[in-house]
Amino acid sequence: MQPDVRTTLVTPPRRTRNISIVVVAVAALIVLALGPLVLSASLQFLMLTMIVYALFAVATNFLVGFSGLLSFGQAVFFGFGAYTAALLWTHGVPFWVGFIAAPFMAALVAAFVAVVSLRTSRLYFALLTLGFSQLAYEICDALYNFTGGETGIPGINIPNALSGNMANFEFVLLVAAVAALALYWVRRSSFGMALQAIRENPTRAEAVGIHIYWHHVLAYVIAGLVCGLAGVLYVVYQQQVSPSLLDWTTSGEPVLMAVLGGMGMYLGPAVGSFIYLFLQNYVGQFTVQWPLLVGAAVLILVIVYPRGFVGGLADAFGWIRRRLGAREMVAGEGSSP
Amino acid sequence: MIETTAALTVNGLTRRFGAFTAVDQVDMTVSEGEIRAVIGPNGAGKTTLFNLLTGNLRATAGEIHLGGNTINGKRPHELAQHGLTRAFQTTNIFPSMTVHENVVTALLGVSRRTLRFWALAGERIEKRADEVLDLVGIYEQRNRQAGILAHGDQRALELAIALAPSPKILLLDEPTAGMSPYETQRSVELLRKIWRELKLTIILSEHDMDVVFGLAQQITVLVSGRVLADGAPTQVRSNPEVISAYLGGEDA
Repeated sequence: MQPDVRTTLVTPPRRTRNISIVVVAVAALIVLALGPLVLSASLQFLMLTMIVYALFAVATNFLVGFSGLLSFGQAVFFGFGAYTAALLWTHGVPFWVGFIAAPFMAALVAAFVAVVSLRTSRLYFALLTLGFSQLAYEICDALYNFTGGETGIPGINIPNALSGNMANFEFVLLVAAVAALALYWVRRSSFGMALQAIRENPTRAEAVGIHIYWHHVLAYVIAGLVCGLAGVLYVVYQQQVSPSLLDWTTSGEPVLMAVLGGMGMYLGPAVGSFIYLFLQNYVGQFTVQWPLLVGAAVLILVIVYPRGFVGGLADAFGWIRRRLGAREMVAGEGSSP
Repeated sequence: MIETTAALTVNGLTRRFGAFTAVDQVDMTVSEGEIRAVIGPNGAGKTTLFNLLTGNLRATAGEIHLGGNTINGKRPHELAQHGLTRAFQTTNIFPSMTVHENVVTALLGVSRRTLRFWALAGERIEKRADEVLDLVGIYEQRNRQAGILAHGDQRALELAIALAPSPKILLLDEPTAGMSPYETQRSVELLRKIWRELKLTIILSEHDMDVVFGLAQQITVLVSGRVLADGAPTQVRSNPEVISAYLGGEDA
């Protein structure tokens, strides 16, 4: 049956494209884009929060889930992006200059944190990133004259073209979607393959010529850039910043979102962001103990089902497909005499 | 002096772990294009020697020359780029990638393309990966997940990963460990074919004496970290010291 290999050495695409995933992603994007037409102002605001945190969580999971780098300090870059944009804009710098410069400033800070922290082992790396997070918070809090200390910076002006409800929403959604797509491209690139290789088998990765340290530094910088961009988008729709953005609990949120949604899937953390913020807003109305529910959900997921919500959906669809396939086969056999 | 160029020279190579000397003043010259077997009883220092050669361990003393360069203290990823690659004793693959992706990753790593976060692997590398998979005989498995392959096929993949970057020197740490006699015979044939087609230098450590005497042109015998004998298989086989220290027992 097997044809001669030499005649069939044709290279098919590296990953067979799963068209259904693309269709689902585009459909979800269209549904989200309709938000301003159907949702109340407060729900639009919630939706924007979900979108911005989805990008934040996806970028964090690029490190935690995809590269195997347990960073608990991503709020530093999220907050740094937000504060840089806020400060630039309140000091009269043009919108687009601030919009572009802020994520790169966050990436610069990420490069510094990475070069220092990645010299240590896994556990100390996680602790150091946590330490940087706390440091950033304290610095921001102390520089009252510059950052507004605990009050933060309220009433940040953005261009009129973006201040309308509709334009604001669509702008944030579009930028977040493009950024997520770009990060997905990086994941599929040669660099992405190397990151996956390092996570799966560092010894082997080194033995084929991959320098682990620099790959991890670059991964950290890229994630920092995207987290910084998420921070800038936060300012675009919130038009204010406060030091809680830099708090270490803010660093934990995207990690929890990733666990809820599923760390193994690219958009798992994005879905996790929607679940997390939904729980926060709706369960939070009934009880201040809503984090208990999130905690319980995370605990159960980690122990029972580490693939998360999206992983679960994927498995369920796979199961249904197999069942249908089996039924068709049985039906086919039955009809044949 | 013999008229061949040395691919790898080791001078007085020593590695201590605390008070224990695992590799003790080892001298070895491996000529270009030869198959060298390093044999010795368990604990003789074979794996430590390999780890020193591949940069996974640092030498306490001594020198390693690859071609004309001293490679002491170089890290594994640098040595891979210098044309020295390795197949591990226990299978060391990327389990959740496909077979093809495993080899593509190896090619990308050695050609220093893995910091390109914007570029895909490209057709040339994908083709080359397929050629290597064809060479080791697992092309049909290219789209399967590496972690679910049978043991023999995983060993072949391990070999493919080491071969993909077109190394000058290939280190094989017990290439037939854990294989059935049939699989062992197949992999000896495969290694001979690869050696003939690619004209590379192979250094292997091995327990199976049939494999050693069937493949090697030169044998180095290690006992307690020291070189006990060094030479052609016939010389080594008839060396009285080797017979009493090692081959004499049940193995020969």
